[in-house]
Amino acid sequence: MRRIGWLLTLLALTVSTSFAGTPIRGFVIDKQSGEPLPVANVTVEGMQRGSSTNLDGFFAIPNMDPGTYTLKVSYLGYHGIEYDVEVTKDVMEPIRIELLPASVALEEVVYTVKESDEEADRVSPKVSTVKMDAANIRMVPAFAGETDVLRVVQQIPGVKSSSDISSALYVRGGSSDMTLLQMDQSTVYNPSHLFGLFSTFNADAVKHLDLMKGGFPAKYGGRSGSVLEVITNDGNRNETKGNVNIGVVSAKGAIEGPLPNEMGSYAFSGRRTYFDPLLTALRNSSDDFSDLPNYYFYDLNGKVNYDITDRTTLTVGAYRGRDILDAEFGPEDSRITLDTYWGNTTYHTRLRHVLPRNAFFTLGAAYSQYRSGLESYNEDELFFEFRNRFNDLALRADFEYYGMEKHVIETGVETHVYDVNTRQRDSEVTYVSIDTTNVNVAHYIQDKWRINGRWEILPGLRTYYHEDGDRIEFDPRMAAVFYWNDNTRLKLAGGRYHQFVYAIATGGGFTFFDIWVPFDGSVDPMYSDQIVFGWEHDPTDEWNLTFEAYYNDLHNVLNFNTQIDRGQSVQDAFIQGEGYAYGFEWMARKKAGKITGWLGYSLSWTKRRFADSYFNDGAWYYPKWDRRHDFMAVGTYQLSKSWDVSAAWRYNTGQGFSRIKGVFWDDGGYPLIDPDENLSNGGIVQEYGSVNNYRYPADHRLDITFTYKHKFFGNDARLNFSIYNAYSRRALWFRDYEILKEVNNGESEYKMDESDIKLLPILPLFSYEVRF
Amino acid sequence: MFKRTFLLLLILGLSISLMTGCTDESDEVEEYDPEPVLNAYFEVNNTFGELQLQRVAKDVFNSYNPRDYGIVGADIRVMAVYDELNDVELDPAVHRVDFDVESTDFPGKYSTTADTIVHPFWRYRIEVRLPGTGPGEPADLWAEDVAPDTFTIASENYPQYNDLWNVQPADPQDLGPEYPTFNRDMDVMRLTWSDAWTPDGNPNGMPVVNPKGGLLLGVWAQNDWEDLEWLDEDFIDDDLIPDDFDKGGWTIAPDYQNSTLLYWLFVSFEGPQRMDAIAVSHGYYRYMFTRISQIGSGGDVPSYEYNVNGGLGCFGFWTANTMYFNMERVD
Repeated sequence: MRRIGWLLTLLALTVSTSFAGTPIRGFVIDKQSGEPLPVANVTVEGMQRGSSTNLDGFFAIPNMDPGTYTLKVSYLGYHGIEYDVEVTKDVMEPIRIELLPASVALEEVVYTVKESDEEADRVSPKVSTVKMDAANIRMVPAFAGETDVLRVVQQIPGVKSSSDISSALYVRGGSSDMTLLQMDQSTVYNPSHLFGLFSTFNADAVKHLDLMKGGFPAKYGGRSGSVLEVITNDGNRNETKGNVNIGVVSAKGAIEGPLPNEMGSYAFSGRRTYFDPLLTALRNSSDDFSDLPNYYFYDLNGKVNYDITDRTTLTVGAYRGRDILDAEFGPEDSRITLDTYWGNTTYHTRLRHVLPRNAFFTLGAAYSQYRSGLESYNEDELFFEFRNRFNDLALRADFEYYGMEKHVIETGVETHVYDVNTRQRDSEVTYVSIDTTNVNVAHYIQDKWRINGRWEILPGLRTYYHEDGDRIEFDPRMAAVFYWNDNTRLKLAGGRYHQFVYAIATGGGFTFFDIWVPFDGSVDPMYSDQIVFGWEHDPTDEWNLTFEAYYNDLHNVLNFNTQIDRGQSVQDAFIQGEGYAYGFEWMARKKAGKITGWLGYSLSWTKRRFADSYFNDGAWYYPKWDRRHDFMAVGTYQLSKSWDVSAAWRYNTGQGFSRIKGVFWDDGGYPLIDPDENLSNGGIVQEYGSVNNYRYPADHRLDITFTYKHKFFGNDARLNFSIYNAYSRRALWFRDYEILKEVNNGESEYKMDESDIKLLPILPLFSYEVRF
Repeated sequence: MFKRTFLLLLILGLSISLMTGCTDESDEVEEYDPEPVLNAYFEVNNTFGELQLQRVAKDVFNSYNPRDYGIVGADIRVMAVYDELNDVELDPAVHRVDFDVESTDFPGKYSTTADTIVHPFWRYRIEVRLPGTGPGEPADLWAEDVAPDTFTIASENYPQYNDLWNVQPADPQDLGPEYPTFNRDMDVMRLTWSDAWTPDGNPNGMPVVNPKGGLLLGVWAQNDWEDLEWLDEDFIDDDLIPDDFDKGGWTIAPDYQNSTLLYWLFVSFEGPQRMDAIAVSHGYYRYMFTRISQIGSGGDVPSYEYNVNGGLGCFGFWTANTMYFNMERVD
């Protein structure tokens, strides 16, 4: 009741103040492409007033008295400008402020941008947020010739991966399913290709990303860990552009341009690997290769923006990515076929409208589908089938209100309809069958409130209703910024974060096997309580330093129950426990100059416990993604106008593993096997002891990319030469144990052999790109 | 100024990190005090056989001989404590079997001279007092499980061979013409088995727990290792049988499964084969199932589901049906 009263008061305040003064509002866009620029900074010269653009490039500075003002507009990687605007008593139409990329030389720089986030942070008290644009993403050395968005994110302190060949994200102690991955506000459920080697986000299609490592505002929800928001290109509104890129692994291309009659823009991109012709040739060349599988992946992105009016734009977009792995093996006369596939399909549409006076409204619908399957059969019989389909139909409406001088109110509703069908069976028995549909509705409201020149807060509340279990949950959130001086900020954020969909990770790090299931009421929903404290400092115009400490208390965390032999509910499939994570991170980022990049370090602890369960006898343990130290150095140096070199070096503590602490002999009572004849199933039982009772050695790796920029038939072209793992220090993937048998004087003796399975050595790779 | 500040902060940060963030490496492996392990499996409707008591061997990277780790001189007894079918408590003093015969050939192996028969549906309790523990003191290790009922098994599509179940050949390596011969071109065999217990069969009409935890099904080649021949010589190019290749394989079915298909395709070798269908008690099933489920799990490795309290291992019961057949190659 008290909450309702608070909301009504807020609404009354909103209405009462909405007609005071006139707002300055508009869009900040890229002058070359016409694309809106998210999180650009707009301030009024001589006044402590300003705003930052939202993800649609829109800003509003409310309640300005009539007069002429000068706006200072800046955006990282762009020339800043001063823009004069005249405010009258009449409501003005949204203005368009165009910025030129910093790569374009100007005869006269109108306004020297202070290349820091200081101003932006004054109007955006987000904590633990790292922003990157396309240029930042492209500067990180490519893996196998492929610039990869998630691998860039993995180079940010606080983010860990499970191995060199996994693109899964483990952020601040959370499991990979605790990070919300959004692409144009559509949720992506399994963002990996090639068993995790590459992510589904085609770097050529990405314009901007925000990684919110913790303490994120009430506008975001549905995950109890972190948020990665990826915004794809809207498309060039001025001219048709494109690029073609050929690498060792794949070919990709993109095209973008304006719609006729300046009605909007489009952007399409695609990527496909070409392992399959190579594999087919190998299969045909010799019987030795006849069992080689066939594999390829592809993804397609498309987006069309249609300007219905000057203030209303309709966006329709789609993404489809698929991995296909087919294999045949076995006897000549009865080949066994193994069909495997996985991938995402998303469709989204979004209507954004600048309302009269002080408001901005968006209405969106998105459909996201993740499918995976594995089928093993021959011409007569089905041996095994696993099918997983996860559909998420999402509807959302967001409303931003700028009518109060010191407040920006954001509120919205988000509805998800989850439809899941997971089945695991052989020809006789269905072992697992989960078939459920349920609805989750969330409402949020938050207020970006600038109290005075030093304090800014962002209180918020997110409320959930989940159909199964009839649960109503409240997630209060709060962020605060104290401006110590012009160059230093203190930040504090925290709140509660509920999660209603979970991934059953069964594949030992291969996310293809992940099964997503929604909360079904059979267990308590997972949530975390987070608190983050940060200190930010801009020692020069080019540098930004961030120190952050955090503590995450994890409740009702879930772990796949490997010991089930049947299941139709979340309760069957999971065990439930608790956990915590804490640590501190620093990041020193250089944003301009000949050398750009960052140094980062994280020191962290993560522990979990599943009390009263078989798992580790209910005791606390370090999950695999717990690593004490991570240090990373990422940078690009402009050698000349034609040559760039970028490098990334990372050091991290080894991850935990369960080391065998002993063996015992068990021939099973019933003579299942003859231990003297057969060792692989053997009479020897390995006893692992507590979970992750040991650690792999620390790991470090250097990747380098040289880029040669030149002209190709008059078009901009880039030749990228990448060296993955430059000093060929192969990371340990996992440790394998083998039992060796010796017979001495007729008596069998055994020995355990420990061997390390290592990842990739040095790999020189290249790609060639032409932009037209 | 900035450079100096930044360097100071960097050094300070790294120093604090190194001082406070030493990697936690468990010394569990080095300081591990090996637990006792009890493995005892008994066949229904048969006398109590042999069991094994040992300690986990921790120094396994040099050499391991199971005989070196047996625990000798223990006091071990098995007692029937409850009749689950008739819902009647049993007197442990009456239904008690002492394992007082120790193997001289394999230290840690114990047997009994008692001719007591393992009774289906009965709940048994095993108690082990290690050397040094007096007879009046609480047991160091103990476990309970319920013996499954016997069952029947039949093939739906090869009914002509149903009479061959549990017929022991004179020579398992040379099966006569009365034993069936299959090849990979023939229809897969569909097997069904009766429940160990069904409500209709309960004489008291009392709801009782089905004591069958699950069923193991396996097929093993009977020839000696040196006589093994691939069914499909192209399947693995090497003419030799790799040392680590199994002579057979087995799978496990949960208690709710009453049928399965036997694919000839998965039989690897020519010649005589032995097929076993083994109903196992719940504790035995969980132990075997968790061993299987861990293979290839790749994640955080949990421990097996042991049902022995005070140590590791499994106390369980089984009952089996066996059939012999030949496999021939089709060129």
